[in-house]
Amino acid sequence: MSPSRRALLSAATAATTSVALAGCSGTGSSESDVESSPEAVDGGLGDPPPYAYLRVDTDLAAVWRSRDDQSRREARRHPRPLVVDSQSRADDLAYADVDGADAVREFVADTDFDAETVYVDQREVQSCYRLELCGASWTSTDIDLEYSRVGLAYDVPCEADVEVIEARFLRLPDALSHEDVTSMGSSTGTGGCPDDHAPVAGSERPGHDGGTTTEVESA
Amino acid sequence: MTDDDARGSRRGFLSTLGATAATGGLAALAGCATLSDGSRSEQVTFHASELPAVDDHPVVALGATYPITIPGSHRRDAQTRANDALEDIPTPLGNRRVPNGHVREHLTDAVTEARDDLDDALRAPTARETLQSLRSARARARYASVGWAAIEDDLTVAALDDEATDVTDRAADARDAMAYVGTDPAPAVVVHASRERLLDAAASVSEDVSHDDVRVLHVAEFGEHVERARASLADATTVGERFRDAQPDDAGSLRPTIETARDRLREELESALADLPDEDAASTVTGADIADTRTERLLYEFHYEATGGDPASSRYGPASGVLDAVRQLAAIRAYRAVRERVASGTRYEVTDAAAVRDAYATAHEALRAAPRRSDAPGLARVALQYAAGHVRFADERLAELSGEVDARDVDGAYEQYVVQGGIAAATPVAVGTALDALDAN
Repeated sequence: MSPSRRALLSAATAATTSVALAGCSGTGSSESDVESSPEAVDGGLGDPPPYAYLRVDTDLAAVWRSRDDQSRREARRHPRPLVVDSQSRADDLAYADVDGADAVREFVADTDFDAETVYVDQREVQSCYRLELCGASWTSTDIDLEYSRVGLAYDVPCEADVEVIEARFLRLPDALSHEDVTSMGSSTGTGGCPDDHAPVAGSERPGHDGGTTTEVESA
Repeated sequence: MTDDDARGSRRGFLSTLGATAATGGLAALAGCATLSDGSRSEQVTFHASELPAVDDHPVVALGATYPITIPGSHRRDAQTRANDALEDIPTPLGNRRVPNGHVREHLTDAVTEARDDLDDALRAPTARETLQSLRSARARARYASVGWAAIEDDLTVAALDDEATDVTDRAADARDAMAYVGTDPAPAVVVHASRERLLDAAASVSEDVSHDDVRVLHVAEFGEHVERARASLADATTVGERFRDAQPDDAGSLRPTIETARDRLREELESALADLPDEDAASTVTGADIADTRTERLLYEFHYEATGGDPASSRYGPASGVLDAVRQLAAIRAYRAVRERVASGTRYEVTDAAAVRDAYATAHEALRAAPRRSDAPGLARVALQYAAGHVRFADERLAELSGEVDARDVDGAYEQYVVQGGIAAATPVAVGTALDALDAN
């Protein structure tokens, strides 16, 4: 994506949001250089893009903006999604010192911010559960995720009534601007996603159901 | 879940409230959300020690009964079944056997509750309540044992399907073949209404589970449903056999009698309902300035009790329809009575702790007295189970209070004492109406 794509996207947002929305609906935007999220299937969102994953078993955040005034503990108390649209914002991120953090850092660093954006979604989960990312959609102003909660296998150690943090780093194939993205939301169902979309880097996902642990790239 | 299971036990009653909430009914039970919280009422506080002396296990001196003796062998079989299931589980389940704390907690809780239910069965004041506790004990014990088998032996829901189908098929056959045998209509209604509900509970095993995302708990919950169906079928069969054995050899079917009575009661209810104010006017009484008071809320709750549901149209069968009609006739009579009292100047306000004590005492006394004031005490006891469950629940809420108490903290309990106590007081007349309908054939 050339630098003009981000400018085009901003311009499209400022001038006419409907153009961007039309583009993102997947119905065609040949006049616009705005890419779209995958088309929704069966009323849900499209498949998520490649993403990295961190799970932190402490009462602190998995990722936080190191130059923010808020501490890591505050980031945990008030987890907010982050739109990382530049190398400098990527450099600004700090990560929990856990297995998989280096792979996540590398995943973020390898992003081409001229053509791509990293969307960081961090949330609390009961420790005997994990979230699965079922779908994602985005426009120049909105980002929506769809999760499903699944229980961990009986042989995965965890404590009832304790919460952990899970963070996902989605590499969106569009150059968005953090200033333009004003709506970030998600929904969470239960029972698992129709299709598994495993992370491509980061922490191991704790095993679901049959007691197996899904391995992911941790390099 | 059967009528007894839903209304007799504490857990069952809480489940009923949960189910009601799920269908949106709880808002109405607790008073309409659009109504006030009695904000015009003066703020009152008192010490919890001034409230009625209810302990952690308050007993409403009212137990539903069967007009038959349940054989000891039937109770022992149920106890054995529950105990055998519990013995399958290597308790205590530590984190070595079940590292997942959430799964471990659910299995452990089920074991504890099954044991509590077995204890409750021993202490139950009537054989009918003993059976109710044993059904729950069997179901909770099976939850735990099936959950453990899902861990140890990879037991699946599919592996339980044949058992579920066998139970539901036999229950459906038994329901289709129900003869409504009897000679005296009142005890026959009591027995056959119970059988209708037990067979309904046994005729389908719900595949809806609360833990569809945790395999072990999903299997456990399905196992619990299967066992509850088995236990319900066993109880329905035994109760039916014992009642038939107690009848003369020439006793025929009372089904036409019961159905005709149900239809007469429906007509009577429809006529009575037509004369009641509609929902918008439920709490309006000419000359009574009660807007935004507890009195207004109470009238609304009485109205809800009087008008809810289709008159005498229980899906379980005609005998259950007659019982429902008794409840609703009593609620309508109670609503009319309280409207007259409000019109005469009576106000229902928690002005001090004594108001709660009075309402508590009145409700409990009404529940105790209603069976002996009825011409068919057994019918009255069953018809009162819903009211008794509400009062028991209110007792538990009061028992949780300590220290300085705001009157608003006892609103719910106070209202239930007044409403359910009023319905209990009106039940003997409603029973009489039902007996007239049964005798009119």
